[in-house]
Amino acid sequence: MMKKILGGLVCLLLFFNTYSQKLLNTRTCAINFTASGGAEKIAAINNEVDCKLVDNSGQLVFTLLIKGFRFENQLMEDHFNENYMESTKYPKALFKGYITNITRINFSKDGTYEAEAEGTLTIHGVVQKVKTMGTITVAGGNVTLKSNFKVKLKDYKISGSYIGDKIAPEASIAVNCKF
Amino acid sequence: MNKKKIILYIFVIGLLSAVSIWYYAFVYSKNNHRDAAKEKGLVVNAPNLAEEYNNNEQNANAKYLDKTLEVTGVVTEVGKNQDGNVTVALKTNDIMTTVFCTLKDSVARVKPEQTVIVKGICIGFTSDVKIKDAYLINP
Repeated sequence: MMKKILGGLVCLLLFFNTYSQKLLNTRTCAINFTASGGAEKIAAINNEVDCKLVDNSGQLVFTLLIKGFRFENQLMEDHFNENYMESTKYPKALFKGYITNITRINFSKDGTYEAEAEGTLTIHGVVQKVKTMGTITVAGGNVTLKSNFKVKLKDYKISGSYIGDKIAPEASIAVNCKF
Repeated sequence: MNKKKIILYIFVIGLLSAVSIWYYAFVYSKNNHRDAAKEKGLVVNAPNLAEEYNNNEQNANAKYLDKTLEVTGVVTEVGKNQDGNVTVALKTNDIMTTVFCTLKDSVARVKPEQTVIVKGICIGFTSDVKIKDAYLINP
């Protein structure tokens, strides 16, 4: 009798173990971009990005606040917020989607895995479908997600007189997320 | 006054303003960042701030976004971001929400359960209210 109950418990535990999912979560993911069109360096970093990833479904969410981007130059930062991103009207940028090849990423085995993400990116109040590549590195239980991609400013209705001149028409974005 | 003199004056004034604009845009603005310490802060406590954001984000943004705040709260979590700046999360009445402050400090001076006052610039709401470029006023 005891053995049967114990056996049942072990089965139950195994069942839950196989179906357990883990939420990876950080509030200090770093996202930086560069959009230099000429000699003047146009670049900023945001170190307070929220990121959530569900390890078995691949569900992935990034939320960042535009006013969290730091420029070397305060005037540039002010122009970025007021004239280009209108960050009082649109304070957030958001990615919601999935890592589509999540089954090929083994979170319990160290290594670097190619990851493909698909979803919607909301910047400046404009929603666009996006698809991008990145890597997930697992090392001693620590998970790091990295990705580099480009965003066309006009896709997100970001306009201004310097775009195409001092400001590149495309921004290069780098994501570095340590869970 | 003859014409030549007038042209010379205009030229000198033009040159001076060009130099000062250049100086302001590329030298002054690089070395002088907005500093919460020099601004008068709006006094608020962490649970109330979070509640206002959870109730109506737009109204709360109109009140707090881009403003310097002096937030009183109880620390739940102390960490570091990738640049080495200390982060301090303050407790609210909502389990999903903290007031998440990134300090200018790189050495942590506070511990969980301590009551603190943080002064910094409010940059908005994700599921946390976020404060950047912050100083610990107390302790």
